[in-house]
Amino acid sequence: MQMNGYFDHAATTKPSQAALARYQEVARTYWGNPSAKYPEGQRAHTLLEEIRTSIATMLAILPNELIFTSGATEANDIIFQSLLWRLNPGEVIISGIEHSSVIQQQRLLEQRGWKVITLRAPNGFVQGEELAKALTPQTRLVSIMSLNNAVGTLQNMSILTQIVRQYEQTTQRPIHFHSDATQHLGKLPISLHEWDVDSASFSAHKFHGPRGVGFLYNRNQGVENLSRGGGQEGGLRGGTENLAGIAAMEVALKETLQNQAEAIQHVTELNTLLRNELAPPVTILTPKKNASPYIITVATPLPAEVAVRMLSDRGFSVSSGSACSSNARSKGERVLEVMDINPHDRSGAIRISFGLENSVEETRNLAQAINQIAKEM
Amino acid sequence: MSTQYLIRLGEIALKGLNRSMFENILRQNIKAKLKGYKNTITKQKGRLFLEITQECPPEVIDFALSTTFGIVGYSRSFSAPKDLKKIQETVKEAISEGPFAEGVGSFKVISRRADKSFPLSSYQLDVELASTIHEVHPNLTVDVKNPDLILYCEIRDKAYLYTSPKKGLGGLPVSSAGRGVLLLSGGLDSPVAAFLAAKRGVKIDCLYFHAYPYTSDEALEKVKTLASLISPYTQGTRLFVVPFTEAQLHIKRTAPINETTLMFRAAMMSLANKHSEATNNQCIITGEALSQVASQTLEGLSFSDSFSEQLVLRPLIGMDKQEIMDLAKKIGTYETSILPYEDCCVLFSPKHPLTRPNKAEVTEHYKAMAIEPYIDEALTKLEVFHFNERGELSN
Repeated sequence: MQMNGYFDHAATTKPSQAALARYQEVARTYWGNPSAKYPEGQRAHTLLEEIRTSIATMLAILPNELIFTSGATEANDIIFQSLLWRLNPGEVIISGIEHSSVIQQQRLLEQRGWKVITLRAPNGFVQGEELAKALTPQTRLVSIMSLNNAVGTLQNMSILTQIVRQYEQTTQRPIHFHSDATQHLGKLPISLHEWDVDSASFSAHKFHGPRGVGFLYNRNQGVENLSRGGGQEGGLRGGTENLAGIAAMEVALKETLQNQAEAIQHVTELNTLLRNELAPPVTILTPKKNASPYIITVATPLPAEVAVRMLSDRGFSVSSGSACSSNARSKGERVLEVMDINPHDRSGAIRISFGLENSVEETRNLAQAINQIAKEM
Repeated sequence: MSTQYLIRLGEIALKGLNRSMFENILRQNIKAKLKGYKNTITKQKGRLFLEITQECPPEVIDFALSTTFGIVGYSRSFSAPKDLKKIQETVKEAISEGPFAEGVGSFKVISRRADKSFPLSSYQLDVELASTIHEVHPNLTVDVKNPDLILYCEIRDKAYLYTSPKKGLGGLPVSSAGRGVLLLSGGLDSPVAAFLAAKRGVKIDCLYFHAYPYTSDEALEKVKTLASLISPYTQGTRLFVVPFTEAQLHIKRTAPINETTLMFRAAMMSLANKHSEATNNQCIITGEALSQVASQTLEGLSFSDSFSEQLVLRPLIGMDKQEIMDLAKKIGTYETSILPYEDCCVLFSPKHPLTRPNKAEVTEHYKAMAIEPYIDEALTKLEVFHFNERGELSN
């Protein structure tokens, strides 16, 4: 099998060399436990806080608003499960196109008496009016992902948060607004203050950092982790800090942000190229406007699983939401259903996600390969 | 030093002049599973006696005897010269292991004399041996109606003693009936069909139709696992993998949409027939059960049947799905069969398949497809995997 191109950057990215080098260096040099009072521990603690300030500066937030976690899934867990500390259950509003780490919260919350309202997202966009209608005096949490992982649509976060903030005025009761922004950071500019969200989650491996590390942005003092641990991260995330991973994440983020403008321009070119080259019967499911240039989801007449295998045999790595089996509904298909995509396109949907490493030539080859397999039947 | 096992034969013992043929095949089948451990197997009416080196772990012997068709039951046994004193000494040895060793509960002795010249009657022998047991374990009480433990004594060329017989699979030894080709999919039914055909003595080759990339390599791996799981029962098997993509695409392109499933099955049957003849097999075995799915109606089966000149056996024809599932669990194929890798892509399954085809009409449609060149081509590209009696891939 020849390698023609990795087009699954929304799943994970190749770790940066500098980040890996930094990981090794910190793991060797700053191995002390940051909670310890002797010099090895204090040196590790100092570095940890320096990195916190550095990343906070990159994101224009305060250092104490940044909690290091094992990744976005854990960050989402902290916010959602924090609700379980409350004496009285209330209501939660999520969009139907959330990542499964958010969707899966529903069962536990409902079991504990919470009501979870799921918003539709026609064409991948949450409707402001629907959000406004769903708000009630019992609403305690709203969670809407800023950039959807399955199709790449971007929500207008400022408008959505504004709807919630206006509603807060009428009830005089704060509503926590969370956003899973895992697909956003490093790909497109982010302004958490402008978005006016209370919290957001991130994973390092989506921006060339290592696995097992990420962070939660949180400005709400009322959030409490269900797990107690040893009081690290301001009590919000117990467990000895993964300092080497955190340091590597900082390097990866710095690099990615430095390259961001170039990357956006590059992947926009690739995106346009792919859109132009793809021909019927391939249909493009990701809208042209208000979508990330990094992601294009398309449907071929083949079941997605088959298309992914055929492309893999031709050396292209892309992602499928759905399985060949009619009874195995997948995460991707669920999202596409909420987007009102027709059932046939849903089962044939494959996701292509670009990175700076992808070339024009391999993108053209990918387009040809997709066109070719789409005509196999 | 060697260990002895008494093996009870069921139906074989009722055979007439050809009984020794069955017994010889069974001996070979058992020996194949115990390869690597020195052993001898001797025949006596209705029984086989296995003498095997003590180096052989008991679980290997258990595996061999519990997966081989033709065995009704077996037990670790002890032999003694036909002398009461010597028999009583051996009884002490026999009850020093197994459930008797704990010395609690109730027991009885069941004696049988194949050699009627033995001076004691069966009843007298029962009494003598019971008193020996009582000497060793005074807390054991006799209960002839509902005992917890039983000591068996058989007087033949020698006296044979055994305590806890285990059940075998029954049936007839594999290869005693002949050879057949099983159409093995990744589903629940075909491994069970293999088990039942092997139970009546059929030696089995498996044939799997692989339509990569429409079916995944995981599906093939699953089928290989199933072949490995049935191979102890079938005394080893060969799995032939047919590259069927081109044929399937041709059918998809040329057959009326609601007939595609019927056409796939007909083409598979035609290929299996050719393969069976070429490999000196005598029949084709399928996991079909009447009316289980759209293509398994009387009309559907009659249609696909007409593409085989060889006999087609369908051991599951009268079974309910639940019965098949229960048997799959018993033989250990269930967990693998329910893995989610499909043996046929949805792409090739029509939404509304034809359930009651007109045979003449669909036969015409089949001919019009001109599928045979694709079948012949596929037959030249078979890939084969050999699984031995212990379920190990051996090529």
